[in-house]
Amino acid sequence: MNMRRMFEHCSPNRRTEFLKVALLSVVLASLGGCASLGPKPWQHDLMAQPAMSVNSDPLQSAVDDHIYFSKEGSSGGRSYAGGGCGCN
Amino acid sequence: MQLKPKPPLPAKTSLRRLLATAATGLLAGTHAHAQEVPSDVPTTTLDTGLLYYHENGRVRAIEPDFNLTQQVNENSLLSLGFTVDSVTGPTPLGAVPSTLPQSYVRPYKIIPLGTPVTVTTASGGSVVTLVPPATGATTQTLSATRTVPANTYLLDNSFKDLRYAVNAGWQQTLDAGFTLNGGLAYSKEHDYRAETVNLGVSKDFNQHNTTLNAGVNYESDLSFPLGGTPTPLTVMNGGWKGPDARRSEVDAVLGLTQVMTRRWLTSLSYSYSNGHGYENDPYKIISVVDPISGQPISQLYENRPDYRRKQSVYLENKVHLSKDIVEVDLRGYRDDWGIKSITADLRYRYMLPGDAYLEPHARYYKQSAANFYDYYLVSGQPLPEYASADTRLANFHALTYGLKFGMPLDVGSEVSIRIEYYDQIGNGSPAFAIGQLRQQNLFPALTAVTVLLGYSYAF
Amino acid sequence: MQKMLRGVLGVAIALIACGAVQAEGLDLNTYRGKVVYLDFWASWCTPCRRSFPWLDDLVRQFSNRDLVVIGVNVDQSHELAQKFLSDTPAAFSIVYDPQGAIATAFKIVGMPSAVLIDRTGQVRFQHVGFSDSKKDEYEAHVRALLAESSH
Repeated sequence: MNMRRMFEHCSPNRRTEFLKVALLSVVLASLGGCASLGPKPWQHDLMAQPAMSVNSDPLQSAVDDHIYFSKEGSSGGRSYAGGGCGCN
Repeated sequence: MQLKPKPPLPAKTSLRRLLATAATGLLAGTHAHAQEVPSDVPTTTLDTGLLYYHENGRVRAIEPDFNLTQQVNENSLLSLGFTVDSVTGPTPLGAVPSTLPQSYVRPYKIIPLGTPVTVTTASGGSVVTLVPPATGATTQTLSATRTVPANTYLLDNSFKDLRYAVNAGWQQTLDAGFTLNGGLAYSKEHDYRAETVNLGVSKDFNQHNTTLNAGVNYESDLSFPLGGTPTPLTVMNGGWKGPDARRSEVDAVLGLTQVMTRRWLTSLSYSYSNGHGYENDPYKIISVVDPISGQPISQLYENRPDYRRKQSVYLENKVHLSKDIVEVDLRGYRDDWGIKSITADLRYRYMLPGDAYLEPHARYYKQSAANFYDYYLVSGQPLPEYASADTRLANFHALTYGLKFGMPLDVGSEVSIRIEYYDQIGNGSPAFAIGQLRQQNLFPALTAVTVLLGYSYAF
Repeated sequence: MQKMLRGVLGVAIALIACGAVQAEGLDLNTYRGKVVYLDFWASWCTPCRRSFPWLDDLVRQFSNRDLVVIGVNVDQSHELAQKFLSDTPAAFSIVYDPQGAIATAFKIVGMPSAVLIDRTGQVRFQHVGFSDSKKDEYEAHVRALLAESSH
C-alpha cells in the first residue's frame, strides 16, 4: 500500500523512470549479488519440461496477440528467452 | 474492421527447448566403430494451428497457421512461418446510432470520363451513384451509398479481406554463451502491407538460472485503402481520395528470466515502441451531432496523431506443482495517446492420465481511453486537432474465459483444442449524452468466440 | 552462508582426493589404480541422450585398459531414469543420486557433467556439457590419464 502512495505522488514520467530503475536493479542484483539464486544444475528436471519454458506455445501466443491487438488499444510486451533444462 | 496487420512474430522457440528434440547427425569420423547417434531424436518441428473467430453476428475469420522449425546443426535453428487470414463481415465505423436512418458513402470505383452509368446496386446493398467530376478531370468516381434503418449501427457491410503473412527466423548459439536471433516478416492484405526485421541477443548466467535478453524490431507499413486516403476531419463523401500513406515503427525489448526455484520460473520484460507516420484508420468516421437533439448532422473522417510512443512491462510466472502447472501473467501498458491498460492472465494446467491436460484460462483486461477518443463531436464546438470514435481506443474492460484440452502424441508432438469466449464491456450510456443519444447504446457490444485447433509434430 | 558452503565443498573435495566418498553404491576406493569416468546424467537432459553412445564407446575401447565408466543419475523420479535406460541402454554401471549428494560433493556446475579421476584417486578433469565438438578433447583426457601409471 505504501508503494502505491509513493507512485501516486510521482508524475507519469517519474513513474516510468522508477519502473526502469527498478527493472535495471533487478537485473543487476540477479547478475551480481544474488549469484546463487536458483536451483542446482541437476535440479532442472521440471524446467526441462516444454510446458515450463517461457512462452511455451508460440503459435498460440501469436494468435492471441493478433486478436487482442485488433480489438484493444495495447499491444505486445513479451520476450522469449530463458528457463529450460539449462543443459550445456 | 481491419484485423490490423500486425505480422505474427517469428516463432521464437528457445534453442534449448529445441535441443531437447535434436540429433547431431554428425558421426565421429575417426572411429570406424563409433556407434550411430540415436535417430529417434527429432530435428524438425511442424507447428500448425487453425483459428476460427466469430464476433457476435459480425466479423468472422478463419486463420490457418504453419510454422516449421529446423535444427540445422548443433548451434543453429531455422524457422519459417506462414499464415493466411480470411476475414469477412461488417464492423462498426464509429458513427453514433440515430432514431433516423443513416447513410454511409464511400468511393467505389474510378471510371473514364463519359462512361455511361446507370444507378446500380453494389455489394452489400449499396446504391451506386456518379460523383460529379472536377473540372479538367479525365476520370470520374462511382460512389456507393449504404443506408441503415433507424437505431442501428452504421456498419461497413462490404468488408471482406484476405491477409497473408510470411516470416523467417534464424537463431545461432555463439561461443561465450551468447545466442543471436534475427528474422524477417512480411504481411499483405488488400489495403495494407507491413514489413518487419528483428534482431535479438540473449545470454545465460548463474548456471543457466538467469537469462538476459534484448531485441529490436523495425517495421515499415504502407496503407492503400480502397478509395484512397481521406483528408482527416473532412466530411465523408464519395470522391476518390488521397495517395498511399506510410508509417514506421521501432520497438525494443529488454527481458530477464530467472529460474527462482526448482518449481518456479519468472520472466520480466520491458518494451518500448516508437511509431510515426499514418496512424489513422482510413475507414473510420466520427459523428458531428446537433447540440440539442443529438442527431448526427455529418460524419467526419477520424484523425489520430502521427506519432505514438508505447511502453509496457510484462511479468510471466510459471509454477510447477506436484503434477499441475499454474501460470500468472501481468502486463502494464501506457502510451502517449493517453491509453493506459492492465492485463492479468491466469492459466491452470490440470494434468490428466497419459500426459493429456485440461487448461482453463481467464484473462482480465482494463484500458483507459485515448486523449482524443470521443463518442461523438458536437456541432458548434471548435473542432479538436485529433478525434476518433474507434471503440478500440475507448474506456472498457474485457474478460476472456477459455478451456483448452491437449494431448501428446509422441515425443515433441501434440494435438490440442482451445475454446475461448471474449467479452468487451464499455459504457454505452455516458452521463453527458445529448438528446436522442441518451436512448442509444453508444458502445457497440463486442463478444467473440474463438476456437483454436493445434497440431504440432516433431520428426 | 557462502563461506559455509565453501567449507563443506572443501572437505568434500579433500575426502574425494582421499577416495573416501561414499554414497549409495558409490565407493571410489574400490577403483583405486583405475581411471574413473564419473558421468552425471538425467532423463530430461538431451545432450545426455547423445553422450550415452559415446560413453558406451569408451567402455568398448578402454575397459580392458583400466577405464571404469559410472553413470550417476540425478533424476528425482526413478521411473523416468528407468524409461531413459530402456530407450538408451548403458554399457556401464549406474548409481542413483536423486538427492544430488554426489553431484553436490563433486560441485557439478552444469548438465551433463563428467568428472575424470586418475589412478591415484585425484579429480583431474571436469567435463561440463556434451557436444560433438568436445568429444575429441574429452577422449584425449581419458587417454592421457590411462597412460599414467598408478604411482
